[in-house]
Amino acid sequence: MDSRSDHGNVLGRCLRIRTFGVTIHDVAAIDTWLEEIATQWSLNETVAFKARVCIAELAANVLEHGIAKSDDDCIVVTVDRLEDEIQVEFVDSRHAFDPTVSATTKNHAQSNGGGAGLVLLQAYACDLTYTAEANSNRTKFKVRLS
Amino acid sequence: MQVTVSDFGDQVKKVILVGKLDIVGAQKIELPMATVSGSKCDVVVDMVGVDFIASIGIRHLVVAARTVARSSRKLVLLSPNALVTDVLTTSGLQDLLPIVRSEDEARAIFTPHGQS
Repeated sequence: MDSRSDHGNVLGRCLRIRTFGVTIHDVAAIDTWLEEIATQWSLNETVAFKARVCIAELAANVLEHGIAKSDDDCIVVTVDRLEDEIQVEFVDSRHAFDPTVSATTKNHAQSNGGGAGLVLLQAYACDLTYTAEANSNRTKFKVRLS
Repeated sequence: MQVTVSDFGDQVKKVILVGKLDIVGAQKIELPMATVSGSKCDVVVDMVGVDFIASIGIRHLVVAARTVARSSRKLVLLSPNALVTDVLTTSGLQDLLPIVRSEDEARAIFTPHGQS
């Protein structure tokens, strides 16, 4: 499924929202979209990179660990630029997967790198929160501009 | 993601990666990395052209490094950029995936003591 919606500036804020499907190509499309936003907003390279890594890890978790509910499973990404931070909301419709559970470098270093995604997410994201809702998972985080 | 494999001296293979090592890039490197790591050679992975990396891409590098190590060989990463380096070090994989900053440094790691 390709991206299905995108909203530009909302009420004068730099806000982008887009809905994606849950395939490898959708996950790749999310990153391409984020690169476009970073260019449009002239984002600091490090901030943009860290936000992309966090979202890539969340999307990969949905694809790899989120048990499919239907063919219409989707990922909705909202990126909001505030004065000194980027706020990201990541919502998916698959079964619950909590990315805030404790991750350590020791555990995945002993495996084949599994768990590195959570380590990266938790290292790069600030104020990471997760809420399991009736039909979706809602993850929010920030990446500081400074 | 573009993958190029070549010889890098005696019993050493060089893999040049260019592009995003994301979920799609990871798929593209899986077979070449498996082939190279099974060749019982030391391996240098040229990361200069990698501009993005996620854990799914790291996974294939880790699998390759473990395979190479089983043959008492080494795999090193050559000159990833600062952001990619930060991902690798933040992941805590610097021991398994050592980083070198030049081809000479890579050769020095691969060359047994007493040989030049």
